[in-house]
Amino acid sequence: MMSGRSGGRDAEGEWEVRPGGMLVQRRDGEAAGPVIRIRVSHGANFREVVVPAQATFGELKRILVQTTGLEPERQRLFFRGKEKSDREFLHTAGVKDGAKLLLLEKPAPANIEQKVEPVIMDESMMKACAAVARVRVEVDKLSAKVCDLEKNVLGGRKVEDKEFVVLTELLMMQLLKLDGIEAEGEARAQRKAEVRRVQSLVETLDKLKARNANPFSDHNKAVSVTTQWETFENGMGSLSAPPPRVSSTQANTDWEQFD
Amino acid sequence: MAGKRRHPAIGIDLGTTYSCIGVWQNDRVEIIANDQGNRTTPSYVAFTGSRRLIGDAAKNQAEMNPSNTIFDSKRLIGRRFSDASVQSDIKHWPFKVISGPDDKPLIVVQYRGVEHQFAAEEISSMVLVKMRETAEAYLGTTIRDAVVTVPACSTDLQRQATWNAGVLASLNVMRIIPEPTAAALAYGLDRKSAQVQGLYNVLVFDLGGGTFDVSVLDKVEGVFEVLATAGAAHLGGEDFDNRMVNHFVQEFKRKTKEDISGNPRALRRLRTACERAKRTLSSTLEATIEIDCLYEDINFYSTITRARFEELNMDLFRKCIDIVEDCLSDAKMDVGSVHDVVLVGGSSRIPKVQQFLQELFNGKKLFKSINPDEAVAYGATIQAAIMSGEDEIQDYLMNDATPLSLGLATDGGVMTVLIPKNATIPTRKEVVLSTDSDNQPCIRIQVYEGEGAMARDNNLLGEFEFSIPPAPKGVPQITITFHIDADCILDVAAEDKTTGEKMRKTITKRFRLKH
Repeated sequence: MMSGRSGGRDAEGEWEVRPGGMLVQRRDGEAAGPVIRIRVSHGANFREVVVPAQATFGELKRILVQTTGLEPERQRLFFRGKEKSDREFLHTAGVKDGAKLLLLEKPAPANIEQKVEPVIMDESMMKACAAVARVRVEVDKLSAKVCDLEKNVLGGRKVEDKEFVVLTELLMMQLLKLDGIEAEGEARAQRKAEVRRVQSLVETLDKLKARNANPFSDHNKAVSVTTQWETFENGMGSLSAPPPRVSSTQANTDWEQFD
Repeated sequence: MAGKRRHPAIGIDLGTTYSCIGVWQNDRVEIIANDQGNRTTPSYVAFTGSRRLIGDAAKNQAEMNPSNTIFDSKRLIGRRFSDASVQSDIKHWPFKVISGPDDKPLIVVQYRGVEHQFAAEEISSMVLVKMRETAEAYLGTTIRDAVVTVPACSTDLQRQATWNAGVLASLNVMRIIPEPTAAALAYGLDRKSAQVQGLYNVLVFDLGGGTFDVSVLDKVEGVFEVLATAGAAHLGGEDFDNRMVNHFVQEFKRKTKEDISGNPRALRRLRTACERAKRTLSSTLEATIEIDCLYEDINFYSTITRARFEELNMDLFRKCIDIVEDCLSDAKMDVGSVHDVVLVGGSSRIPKVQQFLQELFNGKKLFKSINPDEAVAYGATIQAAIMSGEDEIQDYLMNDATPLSLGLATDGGVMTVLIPKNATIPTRKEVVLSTDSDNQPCIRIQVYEGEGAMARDNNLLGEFEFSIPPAPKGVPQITITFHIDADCILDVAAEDKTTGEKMRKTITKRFRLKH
């Protein structure tokens, strides 16, 4: 990880983006690799950028930040009608000097509230918030039961498997109720917060159930299922690393290949 | 004529997934809601360590207690364990079914810590007990007499088993009638058939949550008979839901690169949202799905248009129409020989299904005004009322089958609608009329029912003349009021506010309007 970051910095240090989007090596003494000129269509504009012929589309996006103001995460690059992934190389995709690419924007992540008549919005918003509040009351009760169960398990007391199943099911029912609430703006944020809370409680129950398991074959099966779930989750965890880290890693890899 | 019985008779639709109950009361069919306020009750029975649950309570805990929650008993009743259909169904049920004496299927459950074995009719009888108790709670009196429905294709063994279930539920089953016959009765088609010279044929299209049945009935010597029946034991709303779920799983994968098809909790949330969206699409052209954190921290917000939903299910809809054609063929009939088409089952509400059916029958109007989830129980209740000798049933049966728009003949013979069809009752509507010639001595009020744009294409219900003082044309202001009261009696009043002169006419024909 440290190495990755360091590599990233090195990569950044080696290159300089000059006004106008031209990318050149700082060390004048060494010959740069071949570069190509690309025309990028963005809305009503065509922008010309110069990039290393063996760069990736991800690198191109970072260059385009300078000229478009669009963060790489919000850029979608199309070549010959197909969207290109960040890891793909320009040259393997057939991008040559003078090629034309299409740049589209992904929608902004922030929710843009739909404009509706204030009275209607206020009324439906209040109704949605009230619906979420009713679910929250139920989840509070179930949360208390989860705490009790947790104390028992951590205290080494044996708990019937059925209790985990029942509590999980009751929580799932509240989750389905939340899914049925139509909400905008603040009400949607509240709904989502409650969804996260319910899912967190369900995950807690899954872990407690695994911990509570005993050597009988059925329970072993349950353990197996739970274990698989946890492994999957851990795996997903690593895949969900923050973008800068991923970006850094990619840059490092690409840099090495470039060399 | 004998007086009313001391105890009212009820009609019961014992459905594969849901059951429904009706009673003849206040001179009309009342569908009875259960203790949860629902007008249909899940055909579920559950056994726990401490008690037995039936209906909503059983269904609500099914996920927690799958091996001891019984549904679909209707698919077992009157069948043999070795039947191919039973063997196929057993593979999908979470509860255990074994072979009992004489190859009779028995359902195995743990109840109060002890293993029990139940025959299918015993499970069905528990559902019937729940329905009977629901009716008794509503009426405040004991219920004994009932008409119970069975599928059109039932064997004698299946009918006998259903009758046995009624006996076990302490019911006097006055008659067991086929579901399509009940549906035809619901729309009063038995009365309408009397007006048709010669044969009278009805096609009943029943598309529910899990099953599809088509029947062709004809009226012979005053009784509906099933000429032919066809269907699919596993075709219905659940299949349409599955198509939508698959569609959104693929969409989610395209957008996020994550596959949730192996995640039962995510799938369950998605399925519930799809069921809701499907119902929305029957009345709007687009539906929204919003599921926060469907997978990890990823939200899933999407829409689906009615056109897309139809596209996803087009082959299934066409399959339904193919089965209709097969049924007509079995009955040795062409579409032109069918006088009326009746829709039953929740999925018959799907607009594309109705469109295909209407096209097949050359634009014929479909009977669909009664809630399709309740039509079978509705008809069973009418049959029960007839057999109980209810006095008012005779008047009821003389009414038109479906609610129609009510209005007046106005200038040029145009039908001006005051009360549109399916209006709720009681209701009141007014319109102001004037004259079209100078010194006209009176205005003729002609009350029509029907959907035709011209009054002459509709049924004349009654008329009267309202005298007015001489005046230039267009000057008199005559207010006409239509009022249908809670007893479904139409009162038509005319009033000249200038002179204060009033006249009214009561049309005693009862209108069975939706409410």
